[in-house]
Amino acid sequence: MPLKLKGLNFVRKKHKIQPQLTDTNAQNFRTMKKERLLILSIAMFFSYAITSCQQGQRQEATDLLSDSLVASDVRLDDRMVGEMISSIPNPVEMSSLLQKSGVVYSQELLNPVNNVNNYNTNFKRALNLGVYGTDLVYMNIYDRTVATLRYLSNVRDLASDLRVEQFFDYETLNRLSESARSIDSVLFITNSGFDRMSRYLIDQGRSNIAVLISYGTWIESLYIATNVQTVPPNRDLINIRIGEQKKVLDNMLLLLHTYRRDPNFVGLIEDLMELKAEFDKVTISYVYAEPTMKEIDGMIVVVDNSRSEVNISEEIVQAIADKVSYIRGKIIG
Amino acid sequence: MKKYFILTGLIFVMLFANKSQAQCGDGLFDICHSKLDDARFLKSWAIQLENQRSGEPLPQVSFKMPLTSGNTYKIFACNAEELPGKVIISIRNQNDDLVVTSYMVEQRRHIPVIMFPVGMSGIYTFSFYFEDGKEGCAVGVVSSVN
Repeated sequence: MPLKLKGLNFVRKKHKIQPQLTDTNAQNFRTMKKERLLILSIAMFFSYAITSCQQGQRQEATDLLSDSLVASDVRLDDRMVGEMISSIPNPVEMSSLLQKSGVVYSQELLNPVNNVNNYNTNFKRALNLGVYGTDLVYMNIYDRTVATLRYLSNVRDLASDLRVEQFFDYETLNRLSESARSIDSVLFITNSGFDRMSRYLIDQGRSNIAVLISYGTWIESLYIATNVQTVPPNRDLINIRIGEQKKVLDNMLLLLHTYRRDPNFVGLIEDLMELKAEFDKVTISYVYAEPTMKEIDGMIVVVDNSRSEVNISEEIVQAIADKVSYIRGKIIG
Repeated sequence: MKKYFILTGLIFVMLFANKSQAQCGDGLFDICHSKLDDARFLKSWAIQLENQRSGEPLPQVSFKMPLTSGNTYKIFACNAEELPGKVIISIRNQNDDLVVTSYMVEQRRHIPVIMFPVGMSGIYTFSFYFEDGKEGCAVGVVSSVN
């Protein structure tokens, strides 16, 4: 009886294999074997194709934030977003500076652990994945390795909600977090995990989520830097680093602007425009000079003869700190 | 019979296409990250470029990254062995001036590591391309030296 399946005709046949086949039977058997092989090959091909399609659909369908962007022209800029997103500084550098400057560790600056339960949208989850990621780095730099476990759990939960948990080796991180001697390993796994996650999100056409994570990372880093208790001359160096974020803010605005059709992003852009008004009071001057190079032990060592000078007053720092606290409050609230 | 070979071949191509991608990507990241030594990891990028076509500009990819004065950065890259291209890194400051490249043109020599003690904070552009425009796959890493 012919079986019709999406335009293809298959003939269902019954076969009996005899111990000794006649020439005709043997020929029929070979033909049937070929047909079975053909059907099997086609089935494998379609099953592979369908599985691939389903995987792609699953990723896009369950992410409402991603869906909201599919219809816009934003996806055309994914490559550029990938290039630009690196311009958002890694929180390791700011936390390292604070630690080197003798700034005392302050747990109360971090986003409270239990806040994670309040984040029910992918928008909030992505922002706070960045926030908790920065907190994790800050804690690790200050050797608060045991205390990081609950923050690690938050990062895992938020990453899982966003379906990007595969980039963090939690078992290893948990194990390493028990030893203060493993800080660099913990930092490396955390850092490279965030790095790979960002790349993956961009490759998957979910660059909006990657940008939100970066935004959360940057705001939290800036919040910690503007709120730590310090004394001169360390305060001056930290203020310079804060002032240098003026350039980063411009790039962050450019990234957010790519998604301006999303109302959630409009709110972020408005917040950053207010912050920009304060950063515009910071002046940075540059003196460009030809670099020189030396080759030492098979490495090129650059002698950078260019200089930059940041002019930022305590009042401007305070105004920036207030604005950052306001923005950060909206993110973690 | 020919049809079966084609179909089977097609299935194998599909299966192995994914594997070779992983080899060039994730495996190479692990190899390259293991060369950090005492430096602290900051950023890495995957670079995969096709052969340069005649009459077309050299294929390259660029990324922006902030570097801070007073910090020393260790920058290096690793090549995937299955492709012929040898990666070259060039770094430009925000004035678009070339600061350094990992390739000594006159000597036709690649330098494996760049140490960059930064004097001017700013957003730098890291460009990656392959020697003679050959097809290649590489990973570039930026780390900071304590």
